[in-house]
Amino acid sequence: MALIDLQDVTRSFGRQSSKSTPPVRALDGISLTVEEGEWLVVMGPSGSGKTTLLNLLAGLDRPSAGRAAVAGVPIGGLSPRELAKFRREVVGLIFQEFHLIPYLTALENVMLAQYVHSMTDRDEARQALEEVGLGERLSHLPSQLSGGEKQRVCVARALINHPRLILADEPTGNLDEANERQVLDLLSDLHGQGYTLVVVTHNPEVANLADRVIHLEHGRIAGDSLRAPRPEVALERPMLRTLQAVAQSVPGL
Amino acid sequence: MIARLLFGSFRRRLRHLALIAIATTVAAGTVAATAGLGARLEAGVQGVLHAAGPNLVVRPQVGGPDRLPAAALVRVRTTPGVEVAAAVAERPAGETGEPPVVAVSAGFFDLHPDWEVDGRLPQAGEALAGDLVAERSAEGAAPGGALRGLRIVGRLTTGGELDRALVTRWEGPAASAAASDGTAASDGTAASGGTAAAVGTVASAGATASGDGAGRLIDRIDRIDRIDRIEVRAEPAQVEQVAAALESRIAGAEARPLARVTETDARLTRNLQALMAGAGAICLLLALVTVASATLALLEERRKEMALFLSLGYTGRWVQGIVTAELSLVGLAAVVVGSLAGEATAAVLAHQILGLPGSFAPSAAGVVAGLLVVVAVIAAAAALVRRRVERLDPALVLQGN
Repeated sequence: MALIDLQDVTRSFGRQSSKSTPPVRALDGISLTVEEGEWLVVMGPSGSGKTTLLNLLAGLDRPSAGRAAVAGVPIGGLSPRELAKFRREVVGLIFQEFHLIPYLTALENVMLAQYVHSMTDRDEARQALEEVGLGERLSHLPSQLSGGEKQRVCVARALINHPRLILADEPTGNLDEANERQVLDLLSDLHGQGYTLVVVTHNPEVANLADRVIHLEHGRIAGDSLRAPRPEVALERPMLRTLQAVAQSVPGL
Repeated sequence: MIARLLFGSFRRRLRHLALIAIATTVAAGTVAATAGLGARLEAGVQGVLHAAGPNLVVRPQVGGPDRLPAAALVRVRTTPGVEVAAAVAERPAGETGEPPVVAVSAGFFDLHPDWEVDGRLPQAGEALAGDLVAERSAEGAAPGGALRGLRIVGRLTTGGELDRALVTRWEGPAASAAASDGTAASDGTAASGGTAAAVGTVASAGATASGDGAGRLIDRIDRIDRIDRIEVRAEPAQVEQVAAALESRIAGAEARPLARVTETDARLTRNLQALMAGAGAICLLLALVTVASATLALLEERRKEMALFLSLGYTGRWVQGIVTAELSLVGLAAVVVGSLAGEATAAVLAHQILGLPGSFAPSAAGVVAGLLVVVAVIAAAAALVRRRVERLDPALVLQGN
């Protein structure tokens, strides 16, 4: 079963009854499936619906029409309380602007995501930060961290509850080249561990790392391309390894 | 984690929270001061009124019966607005020089607490001798002496008519014939009535208006067929109404207000209290406006933070709770500080300006006022928080909108 299953999903903003300003369709009849372990990149010009799609998958928004299911949960009909439960159990979010609590340390920002389950595990949070290379920055406030370090704290926070789906909105948008590289390596590692990633980006370098890229225009999927996996990824992904072998066996492909 | 969130937020938002705290402190202080001052004023006035004695007297109407019915005392005591009532029955001076005897029911000395009594209150067979009686009777009227069969237990100085009388407390029914010549009996036997009868026997004195003594007094007084007047202290602001009510309840009686000046004082006091209550209410309203404004600014500053909480899976109710908790802690601390300052201010003002006792003990009114302020502030803040969180779209906010 696909982890993400969207069928003719539409998201409109504005009132149907308004004649002077007709409702805007941020998403217009999108159908999309994403398999578990897949890395999907969503690209497109501003206003194409990328962030709206991401918000919908995160349970921060609901479709106006169509059927949307993530990890088998039909998110269109969930109550606010159920959506909150969905967000804390199924998804991990990484934001372009990091959105760290400025008066909490790196460790406490990660523990904040644990506390949503009414418990905290300092050791687990410490380990999560060590895995993203921030073992020496546990007690630093966000103002004392570089952009890349902040984003890595976000990644640790997103992972701490072991979500099934990681959603990232322009994760390298505010980073310089060096930090961008660090974060992309991190995302690649996560993908290698089998996490499902959906990343919104303008950055073609991010797209090059993904399994699949879709292009949105005016709320619709204008392009959907399956990319060839990197060799190190192919070793861990049997299905893609088979495809790669088939591709290599056909002259001129 | 909660403590860490609250502490961190306090430090970061000190300016907004300080504004809320100051507004709440001022409101609580003003409300507590006005309530405390009002309570002290009320207590002071009541004290003055108590010292002033009765403010109404109920007598037989001119041209009607020369006595009030025995049941009149009970009717007076049960009339709304009556605080204390005491019946007085008199026997005029005898032709052979016996001093007048005045018998009083329980409550009489409550109405006259400033009288000089250099002994104790009368018991069975005892009386207080007024100054003039004592002078005429020489040694017999001294405390410890006897006069006409009544043992004198104290010298009573009133500066008025009763100085010429023996004042006894009665319990039993109208006195027997033996008591008609001034000899007291304590067997509680009934008098036969008649203009020359003694007013009654002197039995045990009850200094308070509670317990068996008071009950017996009321029962016995009902059977006494002669009451010359009933002295009453009524609620000062209602003296006229109480007088009218008494006249309508007791046939053949007239009720005359005595101390109109106390009624004026009472009205002035009520007006002053109303003025202070109004000032306190205005101050509270201004504080609520300030608190609301500062809370809205605080919520605006916390939009992204609240949106982040929601995106992480915290419920709207949890977010409301943590923000409201922060505001509530500030409000509660501010109210405590403000109320204490207000009560202290009230005590100082009461003492320095109004000349009332300056007790620093918190008044019940001040405590209630403080609770009112904290409830109002927290309720207002909680309502604003709930409204903001319900309308918050985390997706839009986290996008930077």
